[in-house]
Amino acid sequence: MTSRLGDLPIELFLNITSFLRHEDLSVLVRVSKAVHRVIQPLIWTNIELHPPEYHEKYDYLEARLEMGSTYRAYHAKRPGEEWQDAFDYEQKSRSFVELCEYLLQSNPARLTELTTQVRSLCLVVDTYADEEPTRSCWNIFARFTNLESLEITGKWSWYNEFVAFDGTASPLTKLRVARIYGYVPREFIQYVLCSGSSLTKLEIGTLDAPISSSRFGDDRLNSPPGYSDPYESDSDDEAVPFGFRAEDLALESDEEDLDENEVAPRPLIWVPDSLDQCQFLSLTSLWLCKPSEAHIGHGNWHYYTPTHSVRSDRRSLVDWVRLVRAVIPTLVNLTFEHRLVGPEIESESTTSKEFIEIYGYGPGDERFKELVLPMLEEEVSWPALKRLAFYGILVGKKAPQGVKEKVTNHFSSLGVDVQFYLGKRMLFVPEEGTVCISADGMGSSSDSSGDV
Amino acid sequence: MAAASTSAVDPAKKMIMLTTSDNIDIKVEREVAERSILIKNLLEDLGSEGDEPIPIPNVNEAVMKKVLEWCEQHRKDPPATQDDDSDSRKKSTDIDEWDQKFMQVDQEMLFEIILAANYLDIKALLDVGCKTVANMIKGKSPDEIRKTFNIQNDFTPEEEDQIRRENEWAEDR
Repeated sequence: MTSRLGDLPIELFLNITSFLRHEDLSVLVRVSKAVHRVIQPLIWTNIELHPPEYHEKYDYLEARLEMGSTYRAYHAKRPGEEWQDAFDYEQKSRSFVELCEYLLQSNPARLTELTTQVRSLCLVVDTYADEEPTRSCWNIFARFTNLESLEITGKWSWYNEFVAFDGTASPLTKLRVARIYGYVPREFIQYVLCSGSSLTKLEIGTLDAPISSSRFGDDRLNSPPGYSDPYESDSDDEAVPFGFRAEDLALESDEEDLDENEVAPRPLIWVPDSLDQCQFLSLTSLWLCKPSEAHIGHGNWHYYTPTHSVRSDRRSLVDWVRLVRAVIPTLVNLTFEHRLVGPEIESESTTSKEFIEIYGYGPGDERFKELVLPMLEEEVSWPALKRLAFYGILVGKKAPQGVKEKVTNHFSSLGVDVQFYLGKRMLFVPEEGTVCISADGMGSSSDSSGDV
Repeated sequence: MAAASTSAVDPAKKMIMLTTSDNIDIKVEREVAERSILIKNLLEDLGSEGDEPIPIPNVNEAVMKKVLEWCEQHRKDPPATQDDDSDSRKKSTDIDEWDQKFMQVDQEMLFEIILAANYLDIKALLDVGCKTVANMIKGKSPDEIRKTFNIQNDFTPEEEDQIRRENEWAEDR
């Protein structure tokens, strides 16, 4: 017996499957061995687990134009589907990560067979799992050894423990693009940085363990490795609070009391002490993002103002400078992004744009001015730089005259295009200290724009 | 006066002759036949007035007639755009009504049309054929797909179960 479908030349069979959505392919793949051989790579080569058009909607438009659009193997939208409720798609991410974790334990050889097919991977890592209190979800990524593009947003879970990330895993030697956002362990980011020699584009905006409000404190559960428990470290002089070492603390003379009130999301300290192992040889685009403290003067928030960890913030900025200095020779696009932090309830009274206009230019900007601007203005040689962009920095109605202009003039004379954008705000849940569960994993909703 | 000798016949309406694989000659208007990029290029390369029959050795009469029926219907369609969108999984499987009726043929003919459209380089017809097959796959279980296309299941139940689990994340829920 012959099958007309089965006997079709491969390019025609592929033409047919190009009209099928992932969910159809996931059924077709089970039909026969011959079909499996053709279909499995279609499902596994490029994995994009965000809802259709997600990136078109959430990524900054001007940045996308600048960097060129990348092909995204979205799972097709069902007819009439509104993906505003992204839950279904996060479920796909969750199943994918759980499958990999399961195979990592039960059949690592098979896991490798599958993961080595993957060239690009974009997903949300939801660390919460009911039945699996101990997760090894970060370790799976070291198995994707042919990965060229990795885009991850980590979600916070109070309820799960983690198998420590195995920092000795071989680096992802083909990785060119890495975009890492949200709650992701430091060890994992540093592992990705070890792929430095192949990386051309690096975007990082990650958050340290949230500190829940003191009203909420006793309910706080475990912290995964990579995040130190704020209480423990505060009470213990030997321990290193928030990932700091004793010498880091010298940066800040003031004691910091984060045990009170509401604490805003803190940037994760992730730049390794020594950048020697990273060997960035071809990094052309660097995008650095973190939360930033808003201006609380007049017309302030109704009943409280969140506390910011000044130490984390300063240390982040110092690290940014260190990293930028290490990659200056190849750097073409450099972007600094501050996401102005506000409480969740702000979404009821202001849009992102209004919020940044009103509360922009706060202590976060002052620190940026103090710690980063001197490097930008003094570093004489930017051999490859073409574009310098600022999001949510030195903008807003309170931004003083002249600061932006000085930067712009300096770089214009070097032939570098400088742009300032309002950027996006970061909304957080004050009781829990976590960013709002919004679609982009960094507390920004899609009403945010990159307005100049 | 020389100009007056130019044929009054619109070159698009000029009849040309195709010879199918089973040695049947089919007469067809040039414009209709030129929906096929292969034939269009052949005519241009030969530079002939289309007086000599053009051999189409890969397509038989029955299929050729069916294909030309489609070309006749779509003779005025704008030429296919060349931006070969690699984001193929966004493509819609909608098929217009006439094409849907046209494709209501047995599976043998359906696949012959696809092969012929591919050989003759008629992208729009190829896509209609492929969409039709894709629609026959959609929403079916693996067993139903096997039955529809006469495909032998050569997996053991364990193998099939493993593959189901490995790709479950991509399934609809």
